[in-house]
Amino acid sequence: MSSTQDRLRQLIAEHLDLGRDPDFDAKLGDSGVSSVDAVAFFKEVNQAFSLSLEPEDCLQFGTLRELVTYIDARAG
Amino acid sequence: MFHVDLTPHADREAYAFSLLDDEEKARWHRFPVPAPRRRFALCRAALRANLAERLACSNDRLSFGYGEYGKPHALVDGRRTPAGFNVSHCGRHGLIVFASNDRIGIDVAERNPRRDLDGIGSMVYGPTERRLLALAAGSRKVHLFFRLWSMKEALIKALGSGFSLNPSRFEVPAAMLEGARSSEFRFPHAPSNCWHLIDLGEHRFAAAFAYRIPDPDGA
Ligand SMILES: CC(C)(COP(=O)(O)OP(=O)(O)OC[C@H]1O[C@@H](n2cnc3c(N)ncnc32)[C@H](O)[C@@H]1OP(=O)(O)O)[C@@H](O)C(=O)NCCC(=O)NCCS
Repeated sequence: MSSTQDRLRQLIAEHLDLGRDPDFDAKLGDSGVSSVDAVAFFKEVNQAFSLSLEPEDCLQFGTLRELVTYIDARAG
Repeated sequence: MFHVDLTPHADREAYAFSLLDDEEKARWHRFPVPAPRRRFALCRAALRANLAERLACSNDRLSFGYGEYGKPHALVDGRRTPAGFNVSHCGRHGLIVFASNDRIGIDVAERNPRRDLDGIGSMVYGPTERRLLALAAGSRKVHLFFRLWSMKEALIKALGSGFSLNPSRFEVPAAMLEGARSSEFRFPHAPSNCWHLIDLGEHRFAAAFAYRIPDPDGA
């Protein structure tokens, strides 16, 4: 498992009440996460990975796996 | 407009589930845990019951289509109807609003204290909104955060854009920042369209409702 995935898993545990271990391949829109939780989560992602994602940018990520790929591509 | 009680209740939830069509049942199954399943099923069933009555059709003739950013609209026998509605759910509260067109949006938010409201606000609030939030403290800060949240979300839901329109690109009307319960509003990117924004907040939750004021020519 990538370290990005580990770090995201940790942020999710701390900030998103998913109720279970996250499925990185499930559609984010099916997560049942509210918009306020989603925005709060992406704020944490910005801080943790030195990104500046805006709310509208977050719609591009269909799954958490796509977010991992995006973060790793920027780091690489 | 009406309120849907989203308190856990096995019988009501089972009945609500039975009113859903196959697509909705599949969506229900994809939610990983019970809370979003309950919110979705109870609100969607209440929406179906009301729309069936308004459109004078049986529940099984009713289905839903979705706009580019996910805003649902009603179909009868697969054909789009002009009936307008919008739904919001949070915790134990669902709100549904109906109108003769779909330029309406509603939002409800329970005021659960959470950390770093200023940080979250920096993602979605404009400069004046952020300044007011920074000046508030304690329960007043929580109250203001969710009041602003519900008003801005009602507007992006009325527009149908969801978060594809960054809510920090507009601010709620100055009169409402000063406490007014309703005001006219124009999005900076489309100032020719006028909207009406109403603060519906009460002791149980923050909530707001927005609708487009028809142009004089009826458009
Ligand atoms: C509508 C939106 C702006 C608000 O979501 P929210 O505040 O979490 O939820 P609300 O309860 O106020 O509203 C949800 C309802 O609005 C309606 N809706 C969905 N998209 C909409 C849109 N673009 N415009 C207007 N209404 C919309 C639906 O009826 C939905 O309820 P339903 O699916 O049970 O029928 C949503 O598009 C959004 O951005 N959600 C973010 C959640 C997300 O993407 N999570 C995954 C990332 S971790």
